[in-house]
Amino acid sequence: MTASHWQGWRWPLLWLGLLLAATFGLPQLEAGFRAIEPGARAVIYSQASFSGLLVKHLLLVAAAACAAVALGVGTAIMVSRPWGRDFLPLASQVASIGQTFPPVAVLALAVPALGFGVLPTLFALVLYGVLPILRNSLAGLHGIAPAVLEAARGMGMSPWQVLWQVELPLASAVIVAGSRTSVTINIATAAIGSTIGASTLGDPIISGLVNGNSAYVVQGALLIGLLALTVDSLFERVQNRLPGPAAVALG
Amino acid sequence: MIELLNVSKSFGPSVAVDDISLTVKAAELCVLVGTSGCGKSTTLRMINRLIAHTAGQIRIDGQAIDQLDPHTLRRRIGYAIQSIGLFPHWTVARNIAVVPRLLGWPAPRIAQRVDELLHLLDLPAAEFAGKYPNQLSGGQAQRVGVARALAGDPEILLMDEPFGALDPITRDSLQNELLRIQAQLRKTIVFVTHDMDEALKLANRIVVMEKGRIVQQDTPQALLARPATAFVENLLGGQERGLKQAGLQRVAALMQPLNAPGLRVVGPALKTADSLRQALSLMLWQRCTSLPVVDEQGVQVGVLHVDSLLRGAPQ
Ligand SMILES: Nc1ncnc2c1ncn2[C@@H]1O[C@H](COP(=O)(O)OP(=O)(O)O)[C@@H](O)[C@H]1O
Ligand SMILES: [Mg+2]
Repeated sequence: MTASHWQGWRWPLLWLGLLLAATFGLPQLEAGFRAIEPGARAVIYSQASFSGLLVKHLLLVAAAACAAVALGVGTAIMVSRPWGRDFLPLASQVASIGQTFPPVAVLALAVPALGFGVLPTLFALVLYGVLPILRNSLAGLHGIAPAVLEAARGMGMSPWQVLWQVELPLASAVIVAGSRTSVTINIATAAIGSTIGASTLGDPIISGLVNGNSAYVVQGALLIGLLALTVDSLFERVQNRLPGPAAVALG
Repeated sequence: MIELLNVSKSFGPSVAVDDISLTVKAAELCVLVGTSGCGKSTTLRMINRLIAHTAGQIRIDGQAIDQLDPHTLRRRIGYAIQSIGLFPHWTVARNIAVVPRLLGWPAPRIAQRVDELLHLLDLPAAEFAGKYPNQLSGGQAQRVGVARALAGDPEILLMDEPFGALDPITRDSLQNELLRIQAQLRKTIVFVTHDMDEALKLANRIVVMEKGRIVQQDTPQALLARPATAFVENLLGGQERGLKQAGLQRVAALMQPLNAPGLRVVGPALKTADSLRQALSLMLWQRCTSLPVVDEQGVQVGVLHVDSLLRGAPQ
């Protein structure tokens, strides 16, 4: 492995290290948090362990991301086939307009339909997370030079082979960029799930806001911030290894 | 052998190809020529079923193409286009290997074939095999495009203005490469161009198309001698026809050979492989009525007189 290979991992490893240190080390910093909230009875959030909340938060975001990728990329593929082309304008419109809808509103609409807890949160995360992925998948598939597709067909590739060997690899960088936006936004949005009974890293924040304990708020926010930075830097690492936009455009 | 029998193609109400019949014999280089929009590409793309014809029949080696699986058919037919369409995420070697992989060749045979083709198209493997398309010049990219079209060792090659986007010097050298490769491999080639000079240079037979129809098909010589319509005559360049015809003949055919072994020539001279057009140009430039003709080593082998040029026979 070369030096530059390790260089690429520098930021993800740094943020991951800080995240783990914070998850397990925050309770040791009681004296520091006492300075923020001298009057409070407890200054370290202790209704649930930070590590447990981190795992739940991560699982929720990951499940939403998987569903959003499947839904977003799948829809983009379907509307870019000859038989699904009629739905292309609709899909593009949904992808661009949907983004202007605030996540809290999605959450508020999900509760009456799905009740409280994990399910409505997951629903809102998927719905909200699918939009950037759909938009980028459409752009990525649309951005492939027509000559490349003509050549692929002319060489005798089947529609599946064109999709798997040519279209998806060439669109992958743009699709991953969309997933990165989606997941990063959802790491923050998932915290709002705590208001409707899903257990996430938003718990300390909500509890802190309700009880007027800003030490709790800082702890939750710190962990969410570090988690977002870790995941974002991992995505950046993946993106750097995919065919760049220069290669795609010049093909 | 490719046969088109009363083939038509309409896109909705508009007729792109109108009842054409054409036979391309094995090992023939047939050039479709005509102005833009006359249906050349459509004709070509019907042969590998990228476009379905709406009437008539197309046969390859006697077999109607609609009886064949389109993917299998296309893997048997090489295809090269003006915009090349190399796969930007694959190396040159992987691009060339596309059809052999689709055909399921074993890896060592594919590797050997890729090397062979890089060599054939004058792209040193050590330098080019690992490059990506965005690292190639236009001429190099089209060489790879041609290599990719030849990779599955197809009997038929379809080429749609493959050299149309190249600068004149690169185009000329790729035309020469194609002639060299064709002399060696003897494929059945259908070549589309809008450039009559290119057609005259490459073709065994020229098929002139106008508004979806074939207006004349003949050898380059016969076409120049007897254009069937004013449109064909116009396409042949009107007053420049004489020069185009001279461009088809070699100096070797009209020169007066020397009887005794010749000497090395210094100063203006013609090569045996030069065209009569080049000979005429050099005579005009040098303001002379005869020029020595030399072989590859620069040793005189004959002499060319302007009278021979005008009479079309050696003196
Ligand atoms: N997919 C298509 N849909 C509709 N019309 C087409 C299509 N492809 C070609 N045409 C029309 O058919 C005619 C012939 O086109 P083409 O074969 O590409 O011409 P050429 O290659 O000789 O320039 C043109 O008028 C063109 O507009
Ligand atoms: Mg064309």
